[in-house]
Amino acid sequence: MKMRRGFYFSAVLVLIGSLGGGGCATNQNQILATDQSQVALRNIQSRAFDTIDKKLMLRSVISAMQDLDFLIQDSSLDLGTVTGQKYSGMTVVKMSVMVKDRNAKQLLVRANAEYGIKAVEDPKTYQDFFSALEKSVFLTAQQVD
Amino acid sequence: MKYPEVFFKGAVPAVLSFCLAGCASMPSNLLVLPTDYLSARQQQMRKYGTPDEKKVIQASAGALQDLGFTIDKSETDLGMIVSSKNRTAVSPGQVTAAITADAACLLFGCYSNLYGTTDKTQKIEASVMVNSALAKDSTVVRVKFQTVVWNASGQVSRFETIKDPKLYQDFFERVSKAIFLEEQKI
Repeated sequence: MKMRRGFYFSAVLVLIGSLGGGGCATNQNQILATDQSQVALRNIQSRAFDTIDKKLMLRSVISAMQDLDFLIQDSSLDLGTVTGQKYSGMTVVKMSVMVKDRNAKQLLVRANAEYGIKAVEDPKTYQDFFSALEKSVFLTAQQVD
Repeated sequence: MKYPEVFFKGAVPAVLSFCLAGCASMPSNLLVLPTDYLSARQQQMRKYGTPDEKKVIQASAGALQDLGFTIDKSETDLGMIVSSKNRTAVSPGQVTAAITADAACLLFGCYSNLYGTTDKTQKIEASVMVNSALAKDSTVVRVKFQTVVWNASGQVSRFETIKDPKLYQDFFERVSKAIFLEEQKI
């Protein structure tokens, strides 16, 4: 009986050890790793908007992120980027958004977010963000400060 | 040596769930617009009756400094100021209660470290965005405060977005004093 207990205990320890060490694969492969194909991910994370006013679009992105409870941490008009973070319980959610020219009449907005130590690659989450952004663009246009 | 039954029944699942928590699934409503976002806008925003965006940015930076924040980053093209301050989070009541509980536990021969879970330091971050209103006759300031609290063991004990209206009002009053203009509530 004693022996079996001891065996069970060490088996559990090994299991815990392997889970703790390998649960979220923290090796260097993560640097260039994605779960989705590059094209699919771009599609999920990007939307085109029929405007060429980059500054106004960036300001709409900022207010959409603020509406979603993000605290803006960095932004640059030249690069067209905005970065922010918010808290979801004990997890930090970080998001960066990039605005660039798509063609003579359109801007492309690309967002990418991470939840704790995981990349957000779920299409619905990005749809939610873009619908918030659409509302924010509308509010900016209608001047509902 | 016998391992107590409780170890297998309680501790192992607890540790296992802790290991797996790193890979917990994320909430589906992560980026869904909260229903009260328009009232949050009202709390976080004020309109000032001047078209001079630069003046308002300077006034906001001054107000942040009045409140003890140091400016971390700024981007005047977009009217952004990011600032933070590190302060104590020690609450004497909480510390006294924890030490009393720890001492009582010690008397009964057990070990507890409630003191280690008491709040110790906090970092408060404030981010200000200054926008000229679309009509170009006034300027809108939007501010948001977040805080991270660490406990006495040096672990993050909680994250918070500050929602206390008083803090926001205080900030806006300082800005309006700084620009000597009548504040127009929106």
